[in-house]
Order: sequence, then structure tokens, then C-alpha cells
Amino acid sequence: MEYRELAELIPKPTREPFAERLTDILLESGRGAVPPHLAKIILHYWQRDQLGSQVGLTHLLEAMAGAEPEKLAQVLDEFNLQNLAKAFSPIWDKQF
Amino acid sequence: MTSFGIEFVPMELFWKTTYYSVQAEKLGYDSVWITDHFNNRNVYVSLSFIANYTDRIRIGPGVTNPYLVHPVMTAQSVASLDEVAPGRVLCGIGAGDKTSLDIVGSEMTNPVRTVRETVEIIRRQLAREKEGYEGSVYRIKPGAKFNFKVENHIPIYVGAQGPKMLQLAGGIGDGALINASHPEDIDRAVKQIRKGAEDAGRKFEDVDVAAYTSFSVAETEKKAKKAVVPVVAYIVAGSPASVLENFGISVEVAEKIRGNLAERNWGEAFGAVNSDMIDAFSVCGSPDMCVEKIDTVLGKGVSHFVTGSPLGPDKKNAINLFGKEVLPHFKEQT
Repeated sequence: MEYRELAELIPKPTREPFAERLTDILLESGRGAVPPHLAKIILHYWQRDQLGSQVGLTHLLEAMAGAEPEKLAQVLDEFNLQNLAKAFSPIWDKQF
Repeated sequence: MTSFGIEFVPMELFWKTTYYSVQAEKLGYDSVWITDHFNNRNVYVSLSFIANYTDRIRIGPGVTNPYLVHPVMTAQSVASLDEVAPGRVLCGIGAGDKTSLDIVGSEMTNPVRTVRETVEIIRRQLAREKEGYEGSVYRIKPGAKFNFKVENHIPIYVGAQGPKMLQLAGGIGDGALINASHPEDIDRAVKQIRKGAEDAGRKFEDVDVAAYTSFSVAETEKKAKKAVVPVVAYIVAGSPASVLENFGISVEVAEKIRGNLAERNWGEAFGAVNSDMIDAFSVCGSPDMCVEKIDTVLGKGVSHFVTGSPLGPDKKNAINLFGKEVLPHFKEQT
């Protein structure tokens, strides 16, 4: 499953606070955690207030999966997005 | 009309400083100032990145110095930045930070003269003047001009603390950046800027007087104070005895803080910072407290209020608090 499809699984009312939470974590992430090309895309959607859109979330999820996978798992749990966590499993399995 | 700015020290990755700058623009801040120290990210790389993701907010170095960067290069940098962010560029210039200059073996000689000539050179470069420049610090041969035209006016702000530099700022600056946070300090500074302006035959009102403060806002005063302590420790350690005495701060205690900072005894150094020091060298507190303190500062003749480091215990939250709970109080008045 691609990040775009994973983003589709996030219910609309949850999207904004979820994006906000992911952004907070990424802003605290260490050096090199978010690759420059992804950082630029995130800024592009942030400038346009679209981080909570499906396309914005697609890139936030990608950045989180690379930079802070453990925290992403926690946030998915926090937002009761178990179906998303399940869908993420193959990606995590590939990473670790 | 009063302007509100924010200062960032580019210690963090480029995209994070840019993220916060975009946030500031969305919330109605008027200016972003990026500090220029050799040990942080480059100021113009940071600024050009911010320029790419913002549309309205004004941006500039705050401040760069002529001891590490020759004025013709500063002129070139701000002129180039103006092509990326047309009409949005500001240029802050000061004598620099003695401690940083010492580390790289650069001596801060004749600072007032050097800054004066720097401002003159930047202006002549931006205007593409063909004539040479003969100063006592700098000499530029005739014909040393840009190969490109600068379309917009770039205001030059003189960063100042001492009386002579403040007068210079009033005399030649489009703006003055006062490195102070306490209303009494700002009052003293504004008087010097006014004197400089009047001695030069200018109107004081033509100088944009910016208070460049150490700022911290949080939901509670306690949290805001905790965040500002390390910054205040460094200010106390670097302040001359005359400044400390103005606020009744013991010179001996300041020396102890200086020693502990040098030895990296953070606990000892930060533990010695008390409320008097925080009040003297920062604008800090809950949003309501900040409104009150900023109101007092603006009453001293300041036309531009800059929130400087640390901003608060959490940068993103502090920018939100300022933008949503402090800024509207003043923006609605104007």
C-alpha cells in the first residue's frame, strides 16, 4: 500500500489535528531525519494550509515513517487509527 | 503604525526555521530577522529559503557585521535577496558580537566609524554609484559597482546598544535595532536615537525604532520565565558593570555566572539568575503580561517590536500564543 492510500484511511475530522501532531513531532526530530526533498514538500503544503489534506498527509506520513516510526505508531494509537497501523505493518516490516 | 517582528537564530535545520517563518507570516507578523553568526547556518541561505515560502513578510539579516563580511558583499547579498523577495528585504547591520569575533581573531576596532562607513558603502553599492569611496576604514576604487540593477529600496537598520552607536542609528539609519528589553533601557536608547536624528537634521519619526528583545511567552509566567533563564544568564554575563548597576544587579554575581558559563556549569550559572535579572533583560510572561509589557515599551517611542530568542519554552506554541493572543491587541489598535 502506498502512502497516498494510507492517507485516505484517515477520517476527515481527524485530518487537521493528526497533521498538527505529526508536524510537532517532525519539528522536534533530529538532524537529517527528514530528507530535504520531503522537507520542501512539507513546506509547500504548509504555506498553502494543506498539510491536513490528503496529499499533505501523504507526505507527512512518509516523513514520519522515515524519521520517527516509533512515534508514528504511538500517534496512530493515540488517534485510534488501528486500521492505518495495520496497513502500515508491511512498510515497517520492510524497514526494520 | 507599529510593526511586529520575530528573530530566529538559525541553529536548527533550514526547513524548521522556514516553517516557523511561514507560521509567523500567517499570524500577521511583519518581519523576520535572522541572526548572523559564523557557528550557525548561513544567514542568506536561510533567508532565501524563507523568501521562497513566504509572500508578504519582510525579511533580513538581523544583524550582520562588517568585521566578518565586507560591506560590498553584504550589499550584494541583500540586493540578490531582493530579487527573490522583491520589496521585502531589510538589512540589519551592527558591530557584531565581541565574543564571536574574538574566537576567529577579528578585532572590533573603531566600531562606530566602521558601521557608519559600512552603511554608506552598502547604500552606494545598492545605488550602483560609479565613484570611488574614500573612508578611513574602507577604500573602494571607482567603477566597483553591481552588474545588475536593484529595483527596490532596502532599508538599513543599525543595531546599537551604546550611546554613540544609537546616535549613529538615529543619524543615518532607516531604522535602529535597540538591543534591549527593559523600558528604562529602551527609554535611554530612544533618547540617544532622537538626539542622533536631530543632530543630523532628520525627523525622529523617520527612523523606524525597533526594540530587539529577549522574549518568552507561555501559558503561565512560570513556564515563560524558565525558558528565558539561559538567555538572561548570557546577557548578565556579557553586560558591563554600568548596565548591571542600573538594575541593581550585583557585579560579583554576574562574574560568577560568567565563570560558570565558561566552565559549562549550566546548573550553577542558570541557578544564579533571579527575577530581577529576568525583568531587566527580557520581556517575559503569560500573553496578558506580555501585552502589558509591550504596551509600556511602545510608549517609549518604539515603532517596531521584535520578539527575539528564546520566544518561549516551545517555539511553535510561543509563535501561536503571540500571534493569537498578543498581536491582535495591538493590530486592532492600528
